[in-house]
Amino acid sequence: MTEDIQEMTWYYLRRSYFPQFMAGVMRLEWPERFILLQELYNHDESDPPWEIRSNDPMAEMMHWIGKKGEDAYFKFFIKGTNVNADGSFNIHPNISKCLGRFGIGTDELL
Amino acid sequence: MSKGNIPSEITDYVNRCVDGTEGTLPFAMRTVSLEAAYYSKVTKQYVTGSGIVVKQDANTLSRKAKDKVAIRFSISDGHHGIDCIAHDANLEYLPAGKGPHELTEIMRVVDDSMKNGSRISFSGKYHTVENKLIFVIDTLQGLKNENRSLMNEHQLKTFLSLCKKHRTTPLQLMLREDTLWGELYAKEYLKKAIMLFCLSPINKKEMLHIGIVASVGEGKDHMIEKVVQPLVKCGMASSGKLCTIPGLFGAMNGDDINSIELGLIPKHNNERIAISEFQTWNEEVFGELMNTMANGYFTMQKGQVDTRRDAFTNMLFLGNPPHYYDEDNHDKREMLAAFGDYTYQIVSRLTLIFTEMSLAGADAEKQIRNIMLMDAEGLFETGDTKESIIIWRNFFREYLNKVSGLDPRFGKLMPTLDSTFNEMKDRPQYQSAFLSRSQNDYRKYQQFINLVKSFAKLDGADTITVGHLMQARQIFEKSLATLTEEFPMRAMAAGVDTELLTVYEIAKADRIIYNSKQEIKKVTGMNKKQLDKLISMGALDAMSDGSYAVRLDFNWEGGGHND
Repeated sequence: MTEDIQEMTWYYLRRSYFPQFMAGVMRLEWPERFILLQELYNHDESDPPWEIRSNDPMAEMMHWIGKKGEDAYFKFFIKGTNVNADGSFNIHPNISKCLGRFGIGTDELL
Repeated sequence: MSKGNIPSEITDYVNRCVDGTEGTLPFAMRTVSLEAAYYSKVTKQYVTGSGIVVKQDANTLSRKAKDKVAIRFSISDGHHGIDCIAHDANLEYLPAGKGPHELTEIMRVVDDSMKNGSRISFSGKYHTVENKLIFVIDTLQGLKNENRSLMNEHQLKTFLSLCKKHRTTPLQLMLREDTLWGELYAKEYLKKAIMLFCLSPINKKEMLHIGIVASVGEGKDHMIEKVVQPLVKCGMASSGKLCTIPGLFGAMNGDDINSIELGLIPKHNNERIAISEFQTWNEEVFGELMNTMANGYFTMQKGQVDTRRDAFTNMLFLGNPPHYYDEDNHDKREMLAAFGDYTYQIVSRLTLIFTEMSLAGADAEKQIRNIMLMDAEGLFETGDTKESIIIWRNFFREYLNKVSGLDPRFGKLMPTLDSTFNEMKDRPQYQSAFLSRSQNDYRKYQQFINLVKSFAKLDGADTITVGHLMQARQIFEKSLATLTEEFPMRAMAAGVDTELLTVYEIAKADRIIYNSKQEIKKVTGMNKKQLDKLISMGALDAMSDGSYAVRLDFNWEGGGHND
């Protein structure tokens, strides 16, 4: 039962929030995009921080995203998203910032 | 454009429901009409009709028959009016005399119609009484089931299962050009908003108010005439000074202070009204509307009598931006200044707000012209197209009525809904738009809940799904985006009036330096009080040589106190 609710919320986030997030983040210039995504990645402390991956972490990120495409953005999205057992969720402010042109609201799905 | 054809299985079923083959009654528009009764004055034929009682008086029948009672009342349908009488005299004096119980019941129905605006049906014929033509009532009863949907449970379930089978939803069908939107081209979100507006609120939590501010000539009235009114009952408020507070709410009867001659809003209780060109209204009208929009009722006082009338009425505000609005130089939220001094309060009560210069989108010119040409050729008024339009309208009228009575449940989605709202509420833009006066805005939360439930109703669902949540979130965000650009909402909340904003905008648009007080007053039309206020707020600088400089970077946030 609990898994069902969590799954449903993940489905909702993937269908409703993620496309907006991805569209929003791709509008940003790379230096700004890098900072925002790096913060998201590092928010999940189970993985080592992004910057220790290479000497040029921004180039590394560009390369990684270029290779993985949408999956890479979804990875960052997951890092900033927490779904609880009852189906409630929290998302990182950096994700909220990207949900639409003005930080709130979107035309993409309407 | 709508994708593909509607599956014939669905079309056939809809046709069968509408013509009455499937179910017990055909789906047809139920009208209130006095026409036959009105024109029977000459022939004095026995006729039936329906309408609303607008005036009544119970008194003795005549000087000759002082012991007999006559209930005299007037019935109207908005186009015609007739004067009626119901009485207890015997046949020699006047036909159709009633016994005491029957006459009391007629009096009760007449009274209820007058107080609550409920419709009645009647039959009878004209007679001459003391040199006057008067309609003598034979039978009269309230139309209690008039607002009940003709669609039964089986029809609803069959229709929903057909939609499921063909991988579509009732809402998707309702948004198509070959069902309800053939005569008007509009953006998808706007169509959804109008369909939400067409649901009937049963209580105050279900009321859904919408504001649409768009450029002139965008077809706002056309939308009401061609989409909303042929589909569902929708009152239309007058513009400007033609719309009076008694006209909107009602007025106490001078003879009988317990009764109210109902205005437009309570007449459309459990229905909806549209307000066209709302920017022409006097500001005090918005002031009177605020409680009704929030509570679903209003009270009236005269002498020592207090009366209360329900008004669970959806409201649609359609208007143009303020006259100084310039798309290149102003942000979209400035369009909302058309609500005047009550902008902040009215905006708080609107579930959805859209400020779009174009309702159809900049790239829709070709489609709009096509529709206009088809209309000019009368293609919507002839043959198969007309028949198809009527069938779908008749079907969805009963469908919308039926699903308005549903009460879909959130079940296990409650925490997800809560988180969705929290995520929006925690954004700084939301805080700036709605929390200027308080730490919490429960009204917006309630509106969001209602929005999600309404999307479920439109789909005929008993249980709310993630899909309904998604649709509600998208349209709510689209609406909130209107309020989160650089609009001086804080200034509005702090009580800066729109006239002050207007004169400042006119001054700014014309030039930066004004040589004298007279010059700035002449150009902008501002008065001395407004000039002094703008100077004290720092929007204008008064120079030592008597000239005035407009501060282009003046920020209205914080109520203008930002020197």
